[in-house]
Amino acid sequence: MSMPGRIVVVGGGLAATAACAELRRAGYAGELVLVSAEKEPPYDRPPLSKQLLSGEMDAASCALHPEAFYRDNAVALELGVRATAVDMRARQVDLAGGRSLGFDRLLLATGGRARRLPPSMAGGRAIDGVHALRTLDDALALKGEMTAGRRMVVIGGGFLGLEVAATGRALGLDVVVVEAAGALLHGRIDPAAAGWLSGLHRDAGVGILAGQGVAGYEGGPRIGAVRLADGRRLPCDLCVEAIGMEPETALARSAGAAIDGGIVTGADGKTSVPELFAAGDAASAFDPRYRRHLRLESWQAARQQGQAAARGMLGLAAPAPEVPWFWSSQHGAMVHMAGLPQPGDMMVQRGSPESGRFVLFGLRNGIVTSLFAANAMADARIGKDLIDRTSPVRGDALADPSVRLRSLLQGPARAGIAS
Amino acid sequence: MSWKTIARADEVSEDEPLALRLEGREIAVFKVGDRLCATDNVCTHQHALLTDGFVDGEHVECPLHQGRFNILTGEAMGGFVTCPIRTYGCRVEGDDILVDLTQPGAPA
Repeated sequence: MSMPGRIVVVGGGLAATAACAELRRAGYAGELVLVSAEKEPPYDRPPLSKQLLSGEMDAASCALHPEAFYRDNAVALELGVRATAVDMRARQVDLAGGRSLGFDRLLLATGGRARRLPPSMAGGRAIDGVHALRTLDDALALKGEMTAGRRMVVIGGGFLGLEVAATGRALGLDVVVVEAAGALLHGRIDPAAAGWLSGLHRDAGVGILAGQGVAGYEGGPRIGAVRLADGRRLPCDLCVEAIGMEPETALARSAGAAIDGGIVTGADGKTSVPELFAAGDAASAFDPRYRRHLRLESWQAARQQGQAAARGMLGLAAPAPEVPWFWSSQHGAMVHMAGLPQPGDMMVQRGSPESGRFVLFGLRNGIVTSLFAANAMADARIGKDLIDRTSPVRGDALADPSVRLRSLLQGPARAGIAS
Repeated sequence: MSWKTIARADEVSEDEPLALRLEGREIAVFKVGDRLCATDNVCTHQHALLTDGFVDGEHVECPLHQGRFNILTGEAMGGFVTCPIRTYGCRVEGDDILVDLTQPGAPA
């Protein structure tokens, strides 16, 4: 193992802490510094749109690790410190305020920023009551405004927007979701799954307006309404822009690393620049299973890429990425997704959406390539193994609830995914 | 000792654990082989019901972060979980499952 003297990790999320933990687990004994622009110790993001907003968790309980973790693993925390530029020749990262930190290896786990609608939406004026959700501060600001009886418009019918909408309903707000595409989670889940999800929200009293563009905000200094492209007005007390994220790639760019929709890395987190690594939401990592680079915004990918980059920084082999895995919870329903859906896949349904418990499998050439599971985590986990094994299965067996999914795991496994 | 009848034995299978609320606690009853085991149902990491998760032999995997617990002992098996879950006394009498929250589960 090559032992660098100092490793600097930039970022305050899961990819960053997973890398720190793995570095120590793998025996790295050198200096380890974690630099985060946020003032809180690294925290978990999934609760921000759910348990934090609902009050089931407070800010402290979102911490990824107790303080002892950083002490025991000798991770020096530089919190509330923004890294501004990377100089690979001098092997140093510049920090806001004029300091700089030398390194032997640098990991960028910089995540991303919430994508925002342009200021022209409010006629170029600042307008209060319009939120985004990416950071703990964002979540706390939003939570402070989510009081029962208020009217909230959520712009964007992706997972984040739908989770905020569900939490808002549970808190007693009137909620409308506006989605520009014709269906919720357009292109990410099968239309049958989107239909079930829409029904779940409508039954809970959430208004869903799909195929609707947003033309602007009215009011001032506080928002009074969201104006739609068709001229309709949605009066509201607050609004949440949940229209995706932009990967934070400026530091990687300053270091001269290749960027292609994200910081381009191998499966071991290596960027195009020696001694520079990247992981998490900002990284577009090579996935041998799919033989292409994927930028996955998921908890699992962040953790795994952090661990892989840690090993890569020590010159150790990185394990192959797991089958992509994602979860969400909305209105008390658990959703799990695995694999990557592709257009043209044959869809096989197990269970029925009407029963509230079902799995939609995507198959290509008789091989399970993706799944969407509603309230069926056990089936989703076995289905994930089916995706991993890439052995052909019979669609009628998948669809038959009397056939145990586990029994389909038998038979020879094949390597690689047929595309 | 305060054994309470909480369900019929045929309401729990290896693939279908049972979730219930008993004396204000969320309790899970799992079937591992021929054995029935009662444990806390809430993951020790973040709030999620383990009965919404994945039973894999004598382990259960949380539906959120896939942290694993040993159902027989309550032990946290790594992943993201470090604190064990509590286990409780659990036995079958006739067709009934009885649980006693005042005593821990029998050691494996």
